[in-house]
Amino acid sequence: MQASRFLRALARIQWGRGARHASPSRRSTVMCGRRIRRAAYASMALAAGPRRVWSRAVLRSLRRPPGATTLANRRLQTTFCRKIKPRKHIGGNQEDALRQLVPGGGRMDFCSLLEETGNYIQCLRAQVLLMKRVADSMSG
Amino acid sequence: MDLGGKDMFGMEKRSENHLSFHGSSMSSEWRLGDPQMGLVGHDASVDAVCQGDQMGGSSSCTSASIVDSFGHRHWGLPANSQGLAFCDAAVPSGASPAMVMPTRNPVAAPPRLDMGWNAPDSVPRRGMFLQNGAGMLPPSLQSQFPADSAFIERAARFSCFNGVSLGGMMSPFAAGILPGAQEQMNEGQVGESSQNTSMSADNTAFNGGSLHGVGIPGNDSGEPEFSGGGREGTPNSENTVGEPSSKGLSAKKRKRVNQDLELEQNKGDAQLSVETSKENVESKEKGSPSAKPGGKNGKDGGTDGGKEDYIHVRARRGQATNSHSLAERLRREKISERMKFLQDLVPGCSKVTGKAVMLDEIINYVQSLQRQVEFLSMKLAAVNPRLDFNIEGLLSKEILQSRAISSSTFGFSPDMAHHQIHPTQQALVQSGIPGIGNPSDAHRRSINAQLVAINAYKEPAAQIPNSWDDELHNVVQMGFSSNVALSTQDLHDVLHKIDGGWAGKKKESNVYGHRRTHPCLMLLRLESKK
Repeated sequence: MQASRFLRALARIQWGRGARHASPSRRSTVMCGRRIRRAAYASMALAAGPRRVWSRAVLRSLRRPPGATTLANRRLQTTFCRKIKPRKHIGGNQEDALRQLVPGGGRMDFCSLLEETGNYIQCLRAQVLLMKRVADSMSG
Repeated sequence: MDLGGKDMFGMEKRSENHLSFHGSSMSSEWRLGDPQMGLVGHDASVDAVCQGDQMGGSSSCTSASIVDSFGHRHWGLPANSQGLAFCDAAVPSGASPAMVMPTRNPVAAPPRLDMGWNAPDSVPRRGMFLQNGAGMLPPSLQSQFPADSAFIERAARFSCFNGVSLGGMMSPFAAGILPGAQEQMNEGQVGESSQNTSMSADNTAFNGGSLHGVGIPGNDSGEPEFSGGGREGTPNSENTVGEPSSKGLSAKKRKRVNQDLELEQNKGDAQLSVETSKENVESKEKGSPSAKPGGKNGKDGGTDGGKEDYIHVRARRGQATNSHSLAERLRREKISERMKFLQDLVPGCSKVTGKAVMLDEIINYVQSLQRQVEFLSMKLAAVNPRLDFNIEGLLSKEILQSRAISSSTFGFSPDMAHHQIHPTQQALVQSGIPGIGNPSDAHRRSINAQLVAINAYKEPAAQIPNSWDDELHNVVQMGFSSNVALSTQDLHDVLHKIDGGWAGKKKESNVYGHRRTHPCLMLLRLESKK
């Protein structure tokens, strides 16, 4: 976690420097915010390790250029990926919603999904706390 | 299975209570057995019989019904009458609790005799016992058995069953039928488990043999003994015994039972030593598919051997033991276990019960956390340009702190790190702001470039944050201390040093000829793409 935090900060420093030159317009702020978010997720996934399905999914999605994974691509992925389970039941709205929330959730059975969700919640909470502290220290 | 399970349960209780060898205790046992055996009519009747015998209640009618049910159910043994007859002689003396206690051996004799008597007729296994029990002392037994003729008849019948059912989890019946025999059996069981030394060799042997089916030598598990005893008996008897109880038995268990039975048979034949029987029983207990007190029937046979390579589940009492349902139950248990874990994670979910509500709460919590990340990232983006130099100090402070922290804490403990870092961050920021500024940025840029150029990272993700912390810490320290651009060589040295530790920690060998790109570099590259 410390490393993830550290990496996040590093990444932020990098583009923060770049943003400093430009006037902090709303769009640049949004762009910076998006970068920060990506850095946060990347550091979180890296800290979690490759053993987690969600961390691998996060890094996979981050490595690909944003917007490349369209619906068509997703269909393609589903065709070639044997791991993706077909959703037979329609009534499990909660389950599907959870799968959409947790990265990489569409490839796991419900049991593993719960486990991944637990780990994901832990990492998310840590990341949020870290960012809170950084924000507080920066603004305070 | 239910019947067997309940019988086992009742028997077990009785066996446990038999330790005290008190008539009252026995009766209490039987009473205990009653509710357990409630499902099985004859079980209850047996218990009732026992109680009746002891209490002098109207057990006769129940016993008759029990006997009928028994006979109808599994045995239908004509030899029952013989056993009953035998019991008649022996039972009279066995009514008193006192007899139970001291006359353990003798008490055990009658059932043996009964069983031996009936064995040739009905169950070959009983024949085994008979051989052992042939030498029993009828006179002593007779003196101990109660004088209730009806009870004796029942006891005899049940004793026959006992011989067979011992292996087949019919012990509860037997126990109920033959209070004396039961006690002795239980006692024998107990004696086996505790101290059989006092018991005569015959008794122990008999008990051991009979207890194969009777159950555990200890008081702990009467069921396995019963099942084991059943197994000892002929396969027929076992099958018959197991039939009613096998309803819940999976095919696997049946196989195991047969195996155990054969094993026990062999062992029993060879030597009816208590130890042997104990071992058999114990070994069987573990894998005994017989209904345990908990009535657990499941693929337990495999668990003992531990040879199977898949997870074995124990079916619970009163539950189907179909393989599908077992797998389903296992899956449900897993899911419930994970849900409990999530319940602890998500705040405010301790009171919530139910899967649907919990899932809703979890979904809401995950959504809120993700929204928080978004919000904080926007906030940091708004704040960042203004406090760029603050980041440097913050970073260095974090590195310095994380280095000390990472060694002690690993995993999700950013709070701790935060707390430790925060007080120092401010100080560092205040002191380091003037000097950090641009040079640090340039320095960092150079560092990044150098790091990126140094190696090609192939691993998907970092696996040891500690190593990252160390590496970055060294890098930053070098940068801060000297405040000069690090040379590539310096970086190499740092990375080598860190990598060595990392490799040692990671148990990985630097298979690549060149240095691997650290995960941090990967992230840096990620960010640099922006």
